[in-house]
Amino acid sequence: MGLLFGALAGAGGAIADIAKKDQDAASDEKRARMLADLEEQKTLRIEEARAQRQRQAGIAQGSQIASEASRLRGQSDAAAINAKFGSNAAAEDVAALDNNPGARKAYGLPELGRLGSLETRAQAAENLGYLDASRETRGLIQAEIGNLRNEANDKATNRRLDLAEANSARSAARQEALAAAQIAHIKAQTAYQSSQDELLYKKEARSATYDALNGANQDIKGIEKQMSDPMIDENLKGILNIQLSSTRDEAKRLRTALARSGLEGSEKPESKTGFDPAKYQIGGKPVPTTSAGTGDAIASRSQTAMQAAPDSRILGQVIMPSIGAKFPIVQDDNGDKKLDVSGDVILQNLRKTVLSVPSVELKMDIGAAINNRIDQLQQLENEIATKEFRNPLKLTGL
Amino acid sequence: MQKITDPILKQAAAQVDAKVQPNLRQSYDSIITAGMDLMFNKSTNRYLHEALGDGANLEKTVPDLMAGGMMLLYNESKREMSIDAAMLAIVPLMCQVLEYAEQALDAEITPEMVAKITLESYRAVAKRFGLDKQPTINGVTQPGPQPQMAGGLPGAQSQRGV
Repeated sequence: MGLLFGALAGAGGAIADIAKKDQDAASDEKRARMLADLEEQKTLRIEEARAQRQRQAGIAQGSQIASEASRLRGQSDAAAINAKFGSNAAAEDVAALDNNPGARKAYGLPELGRLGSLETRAQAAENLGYLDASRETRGLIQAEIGNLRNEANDKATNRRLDLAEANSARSAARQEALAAAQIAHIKAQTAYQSSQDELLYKKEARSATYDALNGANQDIKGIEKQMSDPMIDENLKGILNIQLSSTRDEAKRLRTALARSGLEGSEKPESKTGFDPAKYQIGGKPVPTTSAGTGDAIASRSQTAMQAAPDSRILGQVIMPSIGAKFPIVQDDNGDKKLDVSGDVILQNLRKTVLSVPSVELKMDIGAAINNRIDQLQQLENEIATKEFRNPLKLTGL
Repeated sequence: MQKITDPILKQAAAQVDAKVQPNLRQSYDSIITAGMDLMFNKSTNRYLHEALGDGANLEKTVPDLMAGGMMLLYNESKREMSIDAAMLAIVPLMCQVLEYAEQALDAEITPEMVAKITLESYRAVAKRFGLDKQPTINGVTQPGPQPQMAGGLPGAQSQRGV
């Protein structure tokens, strides 16, 4: 009997174990289903939160763009009024004209048509760096222009509309190029490993800014030319006015950016100097190199000097910008080229460099400044004396 | 094991999950499920969302959230929830919160942040459970997940499930 009860008890325990395992398995399955459902809920909540953030960002962005557009309009209106009446109004002073068509007419300002408003809005979005919004608005402008073109039946109007469209597209392309440069900047900032990489990046960034400035200046000229058309209609004139004002602003910004990158005074888009930003370092100094690039520049200068040189022995000259000295390249008795570093030349340079001592140094200590120049020349003379001079370009790094 | 896509968070959660003792597994799974429900259920998600704000100060907000959430679950379980399992569930649930912040709020999550938030979350939850005055809670002060604490907390009650 004892055995039987023992067996029964054992069987009862086994049955209880099986029942518990079944219960656990069911419970695990249920929990797994719940977890799967919660994972879906999590994905949904994340999507909802992202959508909400985008909506909020869109509202904030729209408000910022509207405010910037109003400022741009005010700026353009103030400039037009000041030009006409010789006044000194600021953008804020003429803000009220926005909603007063009668007053606008009285001041001779163009009507704020839909195209004009869209153009200002696109420009404002660009200024704030909202390139997607700007692209979207420019898309609207293109569509509006398309509609107007369909309605217009004379060729002149179509031509003007084409011009307005092209202006808008060019401005957008410039912004895209600058944005790409900015992205490259961020990438380079995080990725660059050596100062050489940084230098390369800065050259590229300056080059992009310079190209953009050139583009903006060309656009200004183009828009001014279009505005000089006596047959231009008022609506289009309004758009061009806005485009002109914003392009001038852009050019101003680019000039400032270029100046900050160390090229102040170097960029003169109107002059045809063939300025190449890649040949300049940060700070605007020429890139010191022994490669053919700078060599060409030196050779070019040497050639100029050679033409001016009265002495037939003088083949050219090497300019040392760091100390403001010039040394003639002469041919020795063996026919080899060499630098003339004779006492006369040194003295001549000394006179020149003493005269060209910057005024700041003069104010500080003229004696010290002159001594400093003499030391520099002495050092140069020593260095030249210790080298067998064959290639003048090798000395440009001094 | 719940799904986490961020590799840092996934690793942190998996490390803890792999070391859950069999006797704590059921309680642990229940706490995870209840915690997920609390965080991502439509009716309660907004509390999580509002508490995280713009996701800029996660090192402060997440430990507070973890402590508040654990206490809520503990009270809902009529104080029968296993504290040992709860301490283990901190890291996986915290990883869920951080992944939400990362994906919904574009918050940046770094390994250093995960380590710091883990430590602070342990401290915050332990403090709420009154474990911070226990001598062995010093083990919590190690950064990163602390699965070896399971069952070793003298203040922890026996496993009674959630």
